[in-house]
Amino acid sequence: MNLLEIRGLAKTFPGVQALKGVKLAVEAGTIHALVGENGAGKSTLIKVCAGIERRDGGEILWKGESIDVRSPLDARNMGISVVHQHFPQCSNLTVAQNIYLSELSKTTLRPVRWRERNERANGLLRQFGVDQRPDELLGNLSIGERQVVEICKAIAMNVELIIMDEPTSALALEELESFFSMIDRLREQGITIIYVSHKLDEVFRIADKITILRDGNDVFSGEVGDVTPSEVASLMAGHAVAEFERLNLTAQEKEVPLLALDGFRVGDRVLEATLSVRPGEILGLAGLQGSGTSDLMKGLFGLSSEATGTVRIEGEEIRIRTPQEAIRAGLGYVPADRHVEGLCLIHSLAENTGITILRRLARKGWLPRSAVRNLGEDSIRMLSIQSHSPWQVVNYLSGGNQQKVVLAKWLATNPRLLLLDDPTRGVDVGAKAEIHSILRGLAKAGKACVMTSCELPELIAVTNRIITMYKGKITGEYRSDSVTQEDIMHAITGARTADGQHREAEDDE
Amino acid sequence: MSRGQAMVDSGKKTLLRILRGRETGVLLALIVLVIALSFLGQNFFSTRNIFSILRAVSFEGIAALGMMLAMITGGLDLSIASNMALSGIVVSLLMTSGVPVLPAILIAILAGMAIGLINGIIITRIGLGPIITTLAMLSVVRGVAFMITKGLPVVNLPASFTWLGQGMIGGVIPVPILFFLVVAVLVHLLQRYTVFGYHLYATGGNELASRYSGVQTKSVTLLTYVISGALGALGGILLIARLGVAQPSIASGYELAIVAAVVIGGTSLDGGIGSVLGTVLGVLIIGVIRNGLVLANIGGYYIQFANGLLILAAVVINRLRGIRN
Repeated sequence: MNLLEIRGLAKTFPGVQALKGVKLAVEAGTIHALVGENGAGKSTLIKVCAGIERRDGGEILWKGESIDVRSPLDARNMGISVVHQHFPQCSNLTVAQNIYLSELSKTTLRPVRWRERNERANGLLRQFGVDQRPDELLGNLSIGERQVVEICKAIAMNVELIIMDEPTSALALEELESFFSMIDRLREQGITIIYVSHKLDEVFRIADKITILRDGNDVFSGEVGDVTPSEVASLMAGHAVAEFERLNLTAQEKEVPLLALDGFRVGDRVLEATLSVRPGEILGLAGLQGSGTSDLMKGLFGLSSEATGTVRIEGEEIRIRTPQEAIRAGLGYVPADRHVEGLCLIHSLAENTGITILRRLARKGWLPRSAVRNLGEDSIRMLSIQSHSPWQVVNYLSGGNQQKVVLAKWLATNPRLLLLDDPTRGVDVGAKAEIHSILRGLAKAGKACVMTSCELPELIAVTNRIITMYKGKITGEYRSDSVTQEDIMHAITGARTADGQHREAEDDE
Repeated sequence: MSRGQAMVDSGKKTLLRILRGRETGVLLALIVLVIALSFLGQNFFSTRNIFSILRAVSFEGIAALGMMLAMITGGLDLSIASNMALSGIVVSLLMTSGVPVLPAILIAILAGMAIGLINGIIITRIGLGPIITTLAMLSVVRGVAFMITKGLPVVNLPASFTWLGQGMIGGVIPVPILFFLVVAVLVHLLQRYTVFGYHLYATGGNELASRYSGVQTKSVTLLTYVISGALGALGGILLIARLGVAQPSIASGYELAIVAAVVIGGTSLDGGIGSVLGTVLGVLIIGVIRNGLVLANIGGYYIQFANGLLILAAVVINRLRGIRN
């Protein structure tokens, strides 16, 4: 039986037809993957089902009956719950208070029996293996635990369908396993899941069925076993795509490295890092959250007052204390969170691109609009950014296009070395490939890149060399063409170090 | 782990939580302040002086509880002191034109709630920021107070009314203190034990999360401004009863002292955090400092200066707390 059925769903926003008559049939008790590139209409579909947006046309059937979802509360009452990508929560409240916010969503003067509710919340948390007190402040929990709280919130409302929007994008690598075991537990309880993602390895691991969206239409629906990941990727993109093209860049064997670090420290987060980057090279930094990879980049770019150690650029020792000094030294930095650290979302593409080189664009202290516009137009052309004008406000661009704007603003500075912290996070397959080719182009021109990625296959495919970090220390260095994911996983989880200590202990005996 | 051990651990955790709590710091500050001021002479510790401090802070204290509620939603009610004045004028005019005391008070409180309702509607339905909305209302409401009195004080208030501000229970405890106490207990119960209180913190903590959970955050915020208006009115009515004369200029500038008290009491300027206990302690700190200035013969000209410094100090403390978290 179909728990949820959507027929001819349409939704138009000013200037964009986000959904052009989508159909979707979700069987009770299954895990149904909904995949598509950014801008394919996944988010809009979710928002309509969750009662956040109203539909313009089409029909939604819930257990065979036509329904109208007017508000998030409406959806919850019917038994539909959404776990949003960056699930908003109240970190000032306790775990239990977050769990019962939906159930107690009607504002009254009735008393709440927290003692009783804490006990019930405790039961829910134990069920999903979270070892936290229900009266702990939510802000003190890890991201993974907070996501479980969001699931508990849905369970507390006796939901039958949970829609998960990119549920693993907020999680660290080491939290993935417990996430998948939570999904298994939900499956055992007979809860139906719509799993929205563009991470195909996850989809093929857990989903029963798959529906592919492209440009507001459903282009495929069927059993996961009937398609291969590369077929799905092609359907998502509308044309055939190579999964990951391996780059074989021959790093120019120059005597002088472009960047050399010696005993580089950033507080207690990066300890005595010594490494070098040659011109023409893309160096990967692999590490879990808190391993120091991000801190190393920030420290190098003058964003930490605690950075010490020797930094040489083309053999010349320099001190970088501020981003201005870093830019002068020829560095660029693409931060991990483009919304918070990378862009002024309410400003235009052209203004965002020009921000790094305002002084160069200015004429006698005046900033001609034409110079800014030209730069924006150049960026749109060079990076094939999907934007109708250089004055387009970046907030309305898709994730991939926003990331290209961040890249564009650094390319404008003509950097020698680009630091990129997870540059393809939340970016669709097509834009991902384009970003890779931009990096490759830089390397070919004798520049260099240092990058991280939360996806190891990508890191291996794109880079020439990978340096692994664990708890602030460099634990290994690998050639990307001969390393396996397993090798790296060992080096970044401390498994190798632990093995070594184990062996040493045995040798002593 | 044995049950006994678990209980000890849980007890330890509770103790730690109390020690780390925002209120503990405020209480310590108050104690230090009181000890410092006790060097000014025996006058400070006399029963009379202590009750006089408590009475002096009761009026602003009641309003501060309303301000705290607005600030927990992430907003602010700068019109609260003007509201105190207008409600005091309304109750006085009604009584001098023959309306009995109790109905006059109720109507004046309704007037305060109406001001709160206007604030709330502008903030939640039109979507203006709380600061600019209530700043404009500060002037509008004060203006109304001047317009309806033509700037003249209202005098000849009935004794049964002024008793509310001047009377003593058992000849020792001033009546306004009891009002402050009762209101504090009621607001505490409302905050900690009702669904409304739960929604108040949720809305201030993360408005989007609350809305996605089905909470009518706009209604919660609207209701909060209405309550804040009612508490401002009650504070104003009692203040006029204490003074025996209703002047349209009364309580001018109190809003800043009230904000200072609430922030010193640990309420976050970003919303979502704050308690009655903290606010009461914050109000007491302001009251004790003022009293100290008088006892030390420094005089009234310095009070506004001190208030300003206190606000700055409070905001810096708020920022430091934010960084630590």
